[in-house]
Amino acid sequence: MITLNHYLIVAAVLFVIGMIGVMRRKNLLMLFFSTEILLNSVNIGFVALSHYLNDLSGQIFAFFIIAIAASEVAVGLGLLILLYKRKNTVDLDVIQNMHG
Amino acid sequence: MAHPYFGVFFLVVFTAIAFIATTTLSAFVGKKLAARETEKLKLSIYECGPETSLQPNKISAQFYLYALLFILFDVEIIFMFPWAVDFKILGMFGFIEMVTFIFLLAVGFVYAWKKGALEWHSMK
Amino acid sequence: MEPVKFDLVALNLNTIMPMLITLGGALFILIIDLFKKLDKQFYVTVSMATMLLAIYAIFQINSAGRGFFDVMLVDGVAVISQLIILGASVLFMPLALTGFRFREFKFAEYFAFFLFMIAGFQFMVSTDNLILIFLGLETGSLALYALIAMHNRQKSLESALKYFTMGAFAAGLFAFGSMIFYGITGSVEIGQMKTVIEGNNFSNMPLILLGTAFMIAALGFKLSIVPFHTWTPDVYEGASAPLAGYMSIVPKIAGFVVALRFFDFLAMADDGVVQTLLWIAAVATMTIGNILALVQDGVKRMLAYSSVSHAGFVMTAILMGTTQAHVGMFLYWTLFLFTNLGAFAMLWISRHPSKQFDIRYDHPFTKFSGMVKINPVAAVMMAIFMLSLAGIPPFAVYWGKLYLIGAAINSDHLYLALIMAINSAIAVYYYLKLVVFMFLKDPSQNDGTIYNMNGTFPLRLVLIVAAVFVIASIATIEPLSAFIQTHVVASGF
Repeated sequence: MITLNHYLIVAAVLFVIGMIGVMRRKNLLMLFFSTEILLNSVNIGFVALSHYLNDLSGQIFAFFIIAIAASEVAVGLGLLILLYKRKNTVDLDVIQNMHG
Repeated sequence: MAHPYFGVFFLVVFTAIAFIATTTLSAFVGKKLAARETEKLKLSIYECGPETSLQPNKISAQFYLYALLFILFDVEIIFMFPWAVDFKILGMFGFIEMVTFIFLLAVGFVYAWKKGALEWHSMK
Repeated sequence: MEPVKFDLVALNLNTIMPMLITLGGALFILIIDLFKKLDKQFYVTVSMATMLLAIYAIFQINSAGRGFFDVMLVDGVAVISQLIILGASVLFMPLALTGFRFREFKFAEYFAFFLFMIAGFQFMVSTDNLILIFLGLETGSLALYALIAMHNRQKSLESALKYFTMGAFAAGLFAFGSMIFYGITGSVEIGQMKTVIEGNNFSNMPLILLGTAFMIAALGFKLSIVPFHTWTPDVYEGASAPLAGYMSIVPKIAGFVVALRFFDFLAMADDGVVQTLLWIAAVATMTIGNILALVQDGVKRMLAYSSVSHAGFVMTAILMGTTQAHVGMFLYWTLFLFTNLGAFAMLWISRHPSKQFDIRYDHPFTKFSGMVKINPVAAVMMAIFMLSLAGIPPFAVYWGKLYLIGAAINSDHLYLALIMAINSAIAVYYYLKLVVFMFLKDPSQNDGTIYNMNGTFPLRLVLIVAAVFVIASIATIEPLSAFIQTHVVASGF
């Protein structure tokens, strides 16, 4: 029997995976994947909770998160292409110029 | 296990530990499996022949633009599904709202078109 | 089922009018760019007109309340913060009319993005629905990333990427935090969350704390609260000076309003854990921001850390939770707006589009040494803004500091008031360091024009407006705080 907890656990596991992916931040593409995992893990949780609570606003939230994730990737990929054209790499450590 | 969400609480911590363990393990295994320094000579080109170099990126940046536009316009469809399901109940007002929404998408589409993002060879 | 009846009056279109105007202006700029190439003067004029129209529309909202199926919530706090957002934008927009040609202003998209960003932050402050807050936050932030990246410097792309990374992470945290609160309360509206959580008397405290932690982290990235402040100096340094100044004002006031709506009732929980968390965050932010600002060589980085510290200072208003504190928060931010506008505009007016003053920084402290001897007007202007930031009477920020420290004493946070006072004293050191460089050191070059080489009439006008406001704040402080007071009290904070 699959209960609400199972869904929430999947959401939490995916969220942690995404979080670790963001924190490692080596490769910019990997970072985008990680943020997608982050946001989509939240979607799973929202839809499961929405079903459990019999309330639609959770699913609406999930819709908007999908849209936001898409536009975030669009902006991010734009930046990535710009970076690749200038530096020929998508490695975040290479571009590190500022510190202090 | 008194609380219904206790499992989530516990598993956030648990998965963090499990994930760090697996990543360390995979890094360790990867290091063991990867080509060692000593094998470089074995893998190098014998005697003559050109050095194999990585092919420079030949994929046109236009592909990325297509992908971006596809993602954006594709995802917007999800907002039409709820409206389509409850089309009759939402009535005229819902229809006007959806027309407004599609109009805004159309503005974006015209913008992309006019800027030459949809043309194959423009490459500005 | 019967078709749902919609009433146009019940929609209360007034509440959404300011955002519709800014969005319409942005679309207009985008569309007109497709058919005719126009110069930046035109776009600046259109943007200014749009924003002024939006301000006018805000004053037309007479029935404060909900609109658009109860999603919009335009109360006094929303009105003030929208006025701050639009006012700041109106003041920052003319900085695009520079003497030199910069690459980003050639594109109509720059101005369209600017207006989209404003609309996003407007939505963020005038709702208590987490979905719309999230949408507004992302609309504003995504436009801001693109704006930063448009500046033609290698560093700008780097800083846009850094900001993007942090922002994407913060978005994930915000979504997860909202999910936890949705799980606890079954609602995505802060007002209903408050009712439910107070109704069962904070019975789910561990989960509430988990959600609060996510929310503090998510908003902390936007507000540059320690330990989430690490991006701030790099991003400010890479962005162009007007955008850096803008970033230190507008996204933060939007974040503060969300934090105010969200943490106001959570901080009042009996065991006071949330309040302690906020206390630690605020104190750490102002202290660490101050200490790091002490050791900077670049003026822009120094200002970045100082804005971190100012954010910590204002953060205290949320944990105090009294009306006086909330009034102080908006008052402080209005005064800080004009001062920071002046400081960053002074950096902008001395910027060359391609040359950098030295290898590492555009604006190192040494650039300003002996400035009073070769360009006295600019030096005096800069000194006024620095003294105001330092909180020296009678300049603007002093009154804000006074108001907030007074609020802390009145709400029995004596230690907090003491820490705030000590921090204000530390801050004086690094602002005066620049003043000392300008007034007491010998000039490093003979050419006084480098301090206003980018200047044009609009830029000077903005600077004069900022300077006049900073100096004359002693006269405007009374009506300003009365205005804010009525609006804050009307919305029940």
